[in-house]
Amino acid sequence: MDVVAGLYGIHKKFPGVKALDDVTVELNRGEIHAVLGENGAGKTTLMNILFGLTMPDKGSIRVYGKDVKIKSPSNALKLGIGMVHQHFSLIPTLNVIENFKILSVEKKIDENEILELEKRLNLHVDLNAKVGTLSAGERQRLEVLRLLYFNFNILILDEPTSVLTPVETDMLLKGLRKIATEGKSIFFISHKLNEVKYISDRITVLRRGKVVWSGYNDQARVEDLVNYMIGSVSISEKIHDGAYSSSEELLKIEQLRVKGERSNLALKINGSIVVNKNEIVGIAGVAGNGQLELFDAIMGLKKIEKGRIFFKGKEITHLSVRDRIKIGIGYIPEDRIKTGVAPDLSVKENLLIKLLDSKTIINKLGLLNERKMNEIAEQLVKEFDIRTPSINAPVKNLSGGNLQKVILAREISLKPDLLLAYEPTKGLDVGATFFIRTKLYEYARNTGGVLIYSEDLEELMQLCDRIYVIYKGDIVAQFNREEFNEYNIGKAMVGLEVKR
Amino acid sequence: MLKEINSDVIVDILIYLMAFLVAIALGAFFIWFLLKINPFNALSIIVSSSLFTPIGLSSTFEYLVPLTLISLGLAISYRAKYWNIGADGQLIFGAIFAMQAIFSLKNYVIWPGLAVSFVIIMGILGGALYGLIPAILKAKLNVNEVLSTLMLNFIAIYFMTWLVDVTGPWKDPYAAELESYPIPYKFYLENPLILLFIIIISIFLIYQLAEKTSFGLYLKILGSSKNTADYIGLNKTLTYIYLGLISGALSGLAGALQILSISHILSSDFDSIYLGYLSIFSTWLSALNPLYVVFSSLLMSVLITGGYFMAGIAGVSQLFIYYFEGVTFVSMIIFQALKHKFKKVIKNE
Repeated sequence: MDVVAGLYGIHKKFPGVKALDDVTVELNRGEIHAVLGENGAGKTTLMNILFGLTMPDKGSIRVYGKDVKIKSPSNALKLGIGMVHQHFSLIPTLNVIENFKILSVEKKIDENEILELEKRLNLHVDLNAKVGTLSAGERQRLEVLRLLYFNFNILILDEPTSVLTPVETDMLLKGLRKIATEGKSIFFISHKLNEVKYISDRITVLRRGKVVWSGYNDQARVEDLVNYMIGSVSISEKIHDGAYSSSEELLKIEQLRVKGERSNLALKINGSIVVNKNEIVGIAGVAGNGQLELFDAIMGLKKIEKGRIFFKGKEITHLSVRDRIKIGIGYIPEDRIKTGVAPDLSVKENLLIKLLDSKTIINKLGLLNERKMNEIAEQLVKEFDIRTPSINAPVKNLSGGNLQKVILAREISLKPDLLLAYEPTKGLDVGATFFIRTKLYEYARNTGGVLIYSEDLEELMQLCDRIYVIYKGDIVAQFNREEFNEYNIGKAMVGLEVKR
Repeated sequence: MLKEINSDVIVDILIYLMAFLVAIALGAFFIWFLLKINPFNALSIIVSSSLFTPIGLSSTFEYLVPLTLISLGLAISYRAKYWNIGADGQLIFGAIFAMQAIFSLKNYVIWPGLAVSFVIIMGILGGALYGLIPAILKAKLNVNEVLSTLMLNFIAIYFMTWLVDVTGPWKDPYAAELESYPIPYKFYLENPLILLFIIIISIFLIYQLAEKTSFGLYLKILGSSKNTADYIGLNKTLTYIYLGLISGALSGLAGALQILSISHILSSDFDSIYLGYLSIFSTWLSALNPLYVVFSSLLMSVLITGGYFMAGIAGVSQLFIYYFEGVTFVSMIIFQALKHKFKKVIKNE
């Protein structure tokens, strides 16, 4: 076999995370090699290393049989390696032709040549259209066309279908197949099993930075790949004690439609989601399937296009964020440092930012009651074991775990009836993770309902009474605790039908 | 970690000092190398003339009043990252409203104190309304306040110029310059104690607002992260509108006081030294702390007054002050940008 590019023994560490651990992959000429894995498995890091966006700590790269050091994307481009990122690198105010021109000053752009390429590969884009007016699919095609036009022989496509409609996906995949038969070599990064199965010649599965399986497409069944990707789940620390009894409905979501970042419909729930009092309900799903929109919409941070949300029997679909906080909805958001806290403010202020209108910390003159504020803050710091030099230290100086404890302490201290938790333990060490999970569990049992999203299936299975699986913006499956099975849930997460 | 935070504060102070020393060195170099004047001599002229001569002191005080008032409003706006640079326009509209109030009232004054108070309130109103425009534009249409306030400055300046122009409605036909009828003597407000009182009250109120109320904390949250402001359900529209009103009101107050206590006329030269722009500098220098505003404004006032004296005594153009201001400002911004690098260096030691 004719190896065009290879990464050998790649190690990469980020602060606190081992992103890649002794990873080796090779790409043959005319081959589509899929790199499969969950979010955070290290796929993008690996490809960024090949494209010169990240430097490996250890390991070597070989392109066309020669050892190379790729220090920047321009090195990679010179070697004939092109990359299409998850996020587009096109300039929306320019038209298509101009977007070709920005990639190269030397080569003259021949419109006919582009048109011919479009025809041959069946990848159509209107050359005179402004890029800003193109659909996501057209832009994705344009990115690929542009790389092919400049004769890059090694293509890296990072989640190229994440923003495409099914029809667009199909067109792109067919185009890619054609390119490969013409001799181009493609690294195809994805977490969508059926696409990978459909298009690739070879598959490498990454999990937590390690290669867990590598081989030809026909050597693995879809079921095997699910197992490789998600891994077997072990409930290491027992938190759930099985006791849960309540039928008081707290939250009910019906037929919700919410737009995503690119104004496509990111959330389109056809059934309903229910959270009862004292219940922990999990949302499982691969990132980018509408879960963020779901949580933001419940909190009132995203506009609801259609559908209704009920809280304690009353409709809250159009209530403001402030009112939702008042009636008892708490939220541990995805972005700790830029949303969960005001980074420049102190620990004390951050513990109280949701109490600023309440009588508890404001005196009769309308001024803040400094003594009361200190009292509350000191008590929360103690109760939640927040490690900070003082309550007046800027919150941004705290470690991730302590930062999350500040947010958790604040949200729980408000005693909301419903607590939303989005990736509450992502990136935290074992101690902080266990602490936060325990607190959430106790909170649900003693006070109110919890709706939690986590990429970590183990976490959901450890804590939840019920799990909904979200896929492409809709709830595709629901599991009660006695039905929990990592294989079935994992299958539903990648859009496969679950037979029970 | 406690050490880290203490060293943070120390580094902040060090950076301010370094920036200022660099600026002084550059200023000194300029007058020594290009103007052949002993920089120490120049510096001593600036300080002694502006603080230790009666004329100088009163001139310094005349600048101190508007700079402090305007900077107070800017300080709380900048805390929320609401970059109002339109204080000049708001000052001018305060002055225009005050003038209009005086012209309407002048024949009906029974208690001058009451009349002057009314004029001041009208000035505050004028500035607040003019400050409201960019705030609404930002809150409702997301128009960048830097552009809108900057452009509104020009509108205010040319509107004022039109009022006192040869064919303008307020032009005093007996004056050679482009200036309005003078205000009647009974509207003069020349007691420095009253002005001092107004400054102190303003500082006290703005300090309380910024440091002791929920509103002050909301401003800090908005300035720290817009996402967090949304997340806690802060009404950004209303917050920007309050900021536009408050900072406009303080500039308008400064404009009314300029008319009542210093210029006594409105002329095309009314704001020729651009008090609003100078206030951006003193605001920045105060680290957005309402208590420090008075000191940074004092520094600015000393520089301006000293500049005039230097022009007379040492033959240096008073424009030197603008040069000095620019150099200080730029070096401060550079030093701030390099802050984290300094921190690294200091921590390694």
